[in-house]
Amino acid sequence: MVNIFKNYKNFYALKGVNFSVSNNEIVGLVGDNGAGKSTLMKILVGSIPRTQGEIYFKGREVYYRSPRDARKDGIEIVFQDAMLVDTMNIQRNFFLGREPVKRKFGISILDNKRIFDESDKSIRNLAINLRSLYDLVLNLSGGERQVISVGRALYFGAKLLILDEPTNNLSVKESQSLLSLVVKSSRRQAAVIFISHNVHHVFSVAHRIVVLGHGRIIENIKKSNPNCTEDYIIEKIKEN
Amino acid sequence: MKIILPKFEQILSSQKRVSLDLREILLRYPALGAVFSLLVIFTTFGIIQPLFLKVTNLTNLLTFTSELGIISIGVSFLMISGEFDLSVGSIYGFSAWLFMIVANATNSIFGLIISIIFGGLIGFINGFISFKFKLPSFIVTLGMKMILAGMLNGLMAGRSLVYKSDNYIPKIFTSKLIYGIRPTHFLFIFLALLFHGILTQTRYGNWVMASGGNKEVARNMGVNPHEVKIKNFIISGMLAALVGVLVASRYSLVNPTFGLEKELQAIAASVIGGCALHGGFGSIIGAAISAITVGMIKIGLAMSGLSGYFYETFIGIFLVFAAIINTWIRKF
Repeated sequence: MVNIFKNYKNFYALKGVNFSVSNNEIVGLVGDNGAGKSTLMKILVGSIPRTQGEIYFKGREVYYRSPRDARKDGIEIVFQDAMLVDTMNIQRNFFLGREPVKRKFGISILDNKRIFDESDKSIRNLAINLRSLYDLVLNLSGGERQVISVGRALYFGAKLLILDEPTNNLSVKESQSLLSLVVKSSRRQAAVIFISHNVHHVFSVAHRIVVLGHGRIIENIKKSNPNCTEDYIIEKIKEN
Repeated sequence: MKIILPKFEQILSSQKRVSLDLREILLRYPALGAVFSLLVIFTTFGIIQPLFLKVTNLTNLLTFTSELGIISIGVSFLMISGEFDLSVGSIYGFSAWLFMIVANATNSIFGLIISIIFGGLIGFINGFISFKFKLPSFIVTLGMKMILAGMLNGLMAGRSLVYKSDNYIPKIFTSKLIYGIRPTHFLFIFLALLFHGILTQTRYGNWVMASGGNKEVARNMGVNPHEVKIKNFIISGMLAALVGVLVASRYSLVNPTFGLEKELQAIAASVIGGCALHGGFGSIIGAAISAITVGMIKIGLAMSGLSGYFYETFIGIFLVFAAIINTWIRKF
């Protein structure tokens, strides 16, 4: 993302932000409330339009008009509410918008066997213990919902996964589950952008940390840098 | 109360044996509650008044409940996608009149086509206005109901209209076969199975549930909820218009009271049948069966010597009771 500006009338939410992430890299995007973290990511996936700047993905310039568009290129964003429909069951949610079909008597019907088998296989790889794929999402905990959402993104071949405050409403155990999934996914296939207030969580998984403050990049430091400690990052956030 | 279904559940839960309690069974198969209610009410009236069980009485019952049932199919399909249509009764009444006017002037087949197109068009207008002006469909369709009802009253000026056209459509749909069974009964069953199949076995059905359950999530996942809902408004309108044609054919007569309060009965049947009022969950079969139950209560009361004037009271009690049970089952 190059020279990204976003203004709302007289207020500049983002001022000339240059942000990048590489293959198999986990970048932690941190900053206080109102720093512009979610705004930057929403611009990336096309949820909101940018005022100025360019975005390049895998070497070519892109302009996504909606998260649907971004998904076609393998960019998936998982918000706090996990993007699941409460009133539907887990497997139907897993394939929502991408339902596999088969032809029977000349009409396309849902391939229910494939829906069940593949969601079952994917979810079993996620190390959470779900009671039944027929359970409504409404009955799941926050952690289970987040893990299913991330698992869904990975199943559909996400090349860039953006997690917006994923551990906010999770218990300690659920957070650990999700963080190990994030590490596993970056090793397997995806680049990950991890937005969070929780510096400790970010620090435990990120390869590089970017601090955003008042719409600008304040710090961009690799975890391997000896200066990069949790306290250092927290200080940088507080300074701004 | 726990009920263990080992073999069935083993297949359903990835070789893991899971016991389902009664609530979970009803959640997974929402039509079961409607079937249970139907059996209870059927048995009750059958005991109170044995004549209730006569075949010709039951086929008569099926005739007029299949008309409410077809409307309920459209209303429940729309409700699951998160919208209301309070104009179905008026669409039905107006379409009945339109069918007669056109059929009397030309032929019954053309009358049927025009009426169904009219129903679909009203459905489209309902959906379009709701989304274009960001209005609740409850209000838009309430307004449409009044517009159509007023127009029908005005155009008919308190008089009835008599059918004077050919016998094609009346014969195809409403002629009596053996023991009073009519083709409309088969049409009702066919439409219930068709829409149940669409809801549960197709991509579109998944989009219907998602659009009603959480339209923002649906949109983010690549579904176009407004397109889905507008299509469902059109379907609701067309089914209501179809019933208008069926009723006009059966009575060979139309009057301005046709369709009065049918929308409320259809919504009641949908809710009793397990549809969540806010959308995202429900059963077409449940709504269809509940439409039969609602009609059964009316006939059963009359045949049992209880005053038919209290029919609405019984339906009201049944509706609230069913809503309480369904909310307990769903937890939403």
